[in-house]
Amino acid sequence: MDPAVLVLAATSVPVLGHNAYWLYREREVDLYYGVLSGIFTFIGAVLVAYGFPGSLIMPLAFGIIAIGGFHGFIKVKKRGKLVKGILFAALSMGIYLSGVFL
Amino acid sequence: MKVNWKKVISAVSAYLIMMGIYVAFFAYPVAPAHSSHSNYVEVENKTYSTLPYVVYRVYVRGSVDPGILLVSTVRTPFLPDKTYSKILRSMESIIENETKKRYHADIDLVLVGTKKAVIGSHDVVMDDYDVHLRYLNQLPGWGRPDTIKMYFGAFFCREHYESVIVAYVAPPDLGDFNEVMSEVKC
Repeated sequence: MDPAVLVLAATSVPVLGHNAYWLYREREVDLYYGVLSGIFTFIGAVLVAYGFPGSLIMPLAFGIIAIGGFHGFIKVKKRGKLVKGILFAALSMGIYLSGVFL
Repeated sequence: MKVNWKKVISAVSAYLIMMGIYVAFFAYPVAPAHSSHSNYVEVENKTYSTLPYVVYRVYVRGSVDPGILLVSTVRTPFLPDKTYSKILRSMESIIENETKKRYHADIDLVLVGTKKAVIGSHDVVMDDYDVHLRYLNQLPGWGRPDTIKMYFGAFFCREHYESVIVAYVAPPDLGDFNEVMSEVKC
């Protein structure tokens, strides 16, 4: 396996760490999506070598977090969750449409 | 509404670090694709940029009308359109200059179609150009070609998380296109 995959897979670590820590403390629904997003990022990065489209990793990872934000808003009606949903949905679409920074 | 600032700072930090690592991935050095064709000698090997990390190699088959092969490797987790067009333009100018230098001629490129190639296990559709030569030498050598061929193509080498751009210039009668392409390895 090429060492570059470790760098790509490492993008999941801070997201997993943040969401797992706050999930342990607060049990909010959007944090489950954050953990799911981190796991997806890790698996997606590894699966690129087997044909998974690398262009979808970041948009889908952020998309999962956006869904979590909207789900959290529906559940607890906090404005912050809605902002999170909109922000990450915009990021997801932006990265997908821009061809990822390049 | 009470804001949990610790959580906000933690989230912003986490996602900034995530984006930082993602950018670092593009700067991670590539395992350069190369040609193992015995008739082609490497004459140039350069790191073109470090974000994204791009390395190119130029190979030449020595002759009055030489074959020129450029193999460029770009660090990306896929083959994005923007990278392809941006790096391709740069590689195009590199091989154009190499062609002018080796043939001692000004050149005009005309896109005439596409050509399929198999590079490793990758099926690649390459742009097929006619290169019209205007020799700078007042007395060009007898029998030198007025038109040669240039091929451009790119593929994603998923084994190494990098994209490979291949450009190949040769007189039409050289006839080693498939052989040369099959010797390119990523």
